[in-house]
Amino acid sequence: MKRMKQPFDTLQFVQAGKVGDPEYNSFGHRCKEIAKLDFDNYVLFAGCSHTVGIGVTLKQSYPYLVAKKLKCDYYNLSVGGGGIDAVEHNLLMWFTLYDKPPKYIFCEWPDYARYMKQLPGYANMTPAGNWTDPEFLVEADYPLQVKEELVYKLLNEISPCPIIDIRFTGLGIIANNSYTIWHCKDDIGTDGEHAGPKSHKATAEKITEYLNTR
Amino acid sequence: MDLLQNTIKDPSFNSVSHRCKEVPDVLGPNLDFRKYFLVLGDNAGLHMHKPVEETWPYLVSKETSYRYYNACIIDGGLEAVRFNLLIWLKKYSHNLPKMIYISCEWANRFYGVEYDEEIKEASTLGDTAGYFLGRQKLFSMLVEQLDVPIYQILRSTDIPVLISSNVKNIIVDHTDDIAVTQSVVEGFRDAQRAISV
Repeated sequence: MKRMKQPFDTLQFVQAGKVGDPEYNSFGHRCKEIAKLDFDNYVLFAGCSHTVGIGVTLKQSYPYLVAKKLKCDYYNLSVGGGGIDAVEHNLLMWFTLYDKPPKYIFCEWPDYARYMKQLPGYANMTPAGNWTDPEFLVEADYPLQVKEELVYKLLNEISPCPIIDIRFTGLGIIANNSYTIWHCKDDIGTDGEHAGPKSHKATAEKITEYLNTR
Repeated sequence: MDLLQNTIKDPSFNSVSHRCKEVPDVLGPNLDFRKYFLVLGDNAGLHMHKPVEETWPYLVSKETSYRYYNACIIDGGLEAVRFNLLIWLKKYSHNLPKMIYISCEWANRFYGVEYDEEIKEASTLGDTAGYFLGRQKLFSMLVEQLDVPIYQILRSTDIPVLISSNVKNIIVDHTDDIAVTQSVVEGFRDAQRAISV
């Protein structure tokens, strides 16, 4: 399924929306540029703001800490405010564009009641959720849960490497098994809302401990 | 790695509830037979009210001498098209179809739920909220990266599964199997002539 046509077209991925911030690359992802990634030795992260590392510095974020511990490079496809749609799309696009698989994918499964919509005047997709369309999300709760299960199954079928499940809350249907790694809020980040550096360090330790048991 | 299957039983279905021959009968015992096309969609690619011999996938196959696999799912919508497309491309990456035909009469629907009044309301709200448009857009972005010829068979009033420069639309009434067959075969022969030139 490797059909690389325009490997560096920014419209391929759902962006994190922070293009221009020096900590974010030209895709708006909080990591180095894809062109500089060591494709022979890397891991991949996907998720929402928790995995972007909102509230902590780049070097305090658990993706950075895990990659450092594993002595490998990493790419972070996470999208702040993004839901299942963003995670799914960015991972499927990655699998489609790049032949060399990561060693692991660390997937923090966001709230299933989030999705991507396109707003007028925006080139890329925009995250949506209960802050934009609460009535729809109440009515569509069950079908969105079904979609979440379908997405989980698809990604695990398609993925060229193991997917390690991470969750921030226990509300979800999927990835809530004995292998799930929980990203807990042991302290508060600088934004006053997300997890802080202590929490990220703990999550990174849980991930590396889990990998050691595999 | 399994494709989504139809949930009803029908004698015209194969062992995994798809309305066509078994995979080895299409791709050959070594899964390397190359002259085949893949059909994806919903009821518009199945026409369960007719014998399979009268449906357009069968007729196109007969006219072109290409085999086919029909992974259409009743009421599957965009989600079933996407799932089965991606699984197929992964599973048979060594032998991709020569072309893919997509025909969906109801693309913007939730997958795997009964459409009772509550879900109908949710579906309407999903249209208004841009949810289905978002799913369509994301799928289209992905399909932009594929280099298998994809044709979408739809009426001018249908909501398309895909909006992509990588997808050729065949505008025809997909309830008319003869008309669909003529349109598809015509395009197929034009493509064959272009290749031979």
